Amino acid sequence: MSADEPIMNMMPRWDNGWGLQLIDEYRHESDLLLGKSTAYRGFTEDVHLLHLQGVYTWDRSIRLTYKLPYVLDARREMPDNLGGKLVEHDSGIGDATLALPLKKYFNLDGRSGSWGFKPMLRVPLAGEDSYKIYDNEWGGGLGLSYDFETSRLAFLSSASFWFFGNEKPNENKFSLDLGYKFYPLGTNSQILWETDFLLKDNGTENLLAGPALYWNINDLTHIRLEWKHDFYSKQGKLDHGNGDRILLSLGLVY
Amino acid sequence: MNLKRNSMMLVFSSMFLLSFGFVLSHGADGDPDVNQKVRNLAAIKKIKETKDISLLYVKGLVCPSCALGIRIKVGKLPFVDSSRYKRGVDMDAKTQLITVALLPGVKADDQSLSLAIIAAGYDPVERYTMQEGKLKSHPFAKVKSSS
Repeated sequence: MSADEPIMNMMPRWDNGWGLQLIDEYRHESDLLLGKSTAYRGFTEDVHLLHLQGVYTWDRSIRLTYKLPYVLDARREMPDNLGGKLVEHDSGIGDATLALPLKKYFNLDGRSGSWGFKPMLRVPLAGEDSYKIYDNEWGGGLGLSYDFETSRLAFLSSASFWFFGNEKPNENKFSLDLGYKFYPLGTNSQILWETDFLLKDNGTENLLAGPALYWNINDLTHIRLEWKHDFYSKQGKLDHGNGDRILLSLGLVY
Repeated sequence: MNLKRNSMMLVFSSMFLLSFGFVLSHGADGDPDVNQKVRNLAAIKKIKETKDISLLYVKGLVCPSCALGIRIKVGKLPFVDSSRYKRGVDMDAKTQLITVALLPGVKADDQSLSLAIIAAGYDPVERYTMQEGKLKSHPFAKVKSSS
């Protein structure tokens, strides 16, 4: 999800186009892991986030995007070193991401796509709580992407690299999305299988994958429902894993 | 060590994306089921059945969502009858033909149409008319887009 661009990785492609996307994300992690091993079984984490994202397309080759997350509620269980559980909470605004996606489109006979290059900036806005969903640190990033679509198929691959200054480990993310398009009742829909691989400098490795459904209701409104499961979790430090996440997105373009 | 690892990851993934994309983008020019003959037949049928239109072949149109930007840009042109179709534009994703509804008795301005389609993110190739019972194509002048 973090590598995705508003709106639904697609729009607006036209000059002087605007888009706004609201994402409701809920994730649940079942265990506390260290490395590949379950250190504390049944120590859960539940995070409920709201993402406000926007995009302005100057022309089809230049966009400006922002992502602003808000932690509605986050709760995790950690060992209290007395044999019990310590419950910690986080809420409030998260760290913002600004990006300048530069795209080189190609329009072929029955196929269209783009190459992307994206400088990114992480802006620390998160506050202090008993634990941190967002780390309140500056960061610089670089994204690369390649995508194409035909009347039936969609393909998107992307890689992003984040560099942080202080304690936060650098991150590398790779995404591969494959989609099949269909057109019920005169609308435009797509079912996708999405795979994300996250690699951090501290040894953390996560492989998430799952289906997504995209529905273009009308010229203004786009909806997306996404579910991802942790198929592989290795934590470089004691952290939660073995979970699932569900995202419901509403996108508006004009 | 971390810097070296990150650099290697960056180079590796860039090479992967570049090579994979190059093969895909240069391997074939689109849908083999939609050749010019199929498009011509569809164009003849459309022109014979519909009045007051401009019929265009636009490269890159692959689904109804692609027409969204074209409707926004083309629908604003003064010679387009936006009360017909959706904002005056109809699209056949299979043949990549765009039908633009024109106001009765008004002639389309090809340059305005071409610029509007480019601004929507796509590439206009040619416009079709019927002359003496035969389909005639009118290629658009190549306009250099920004991307």
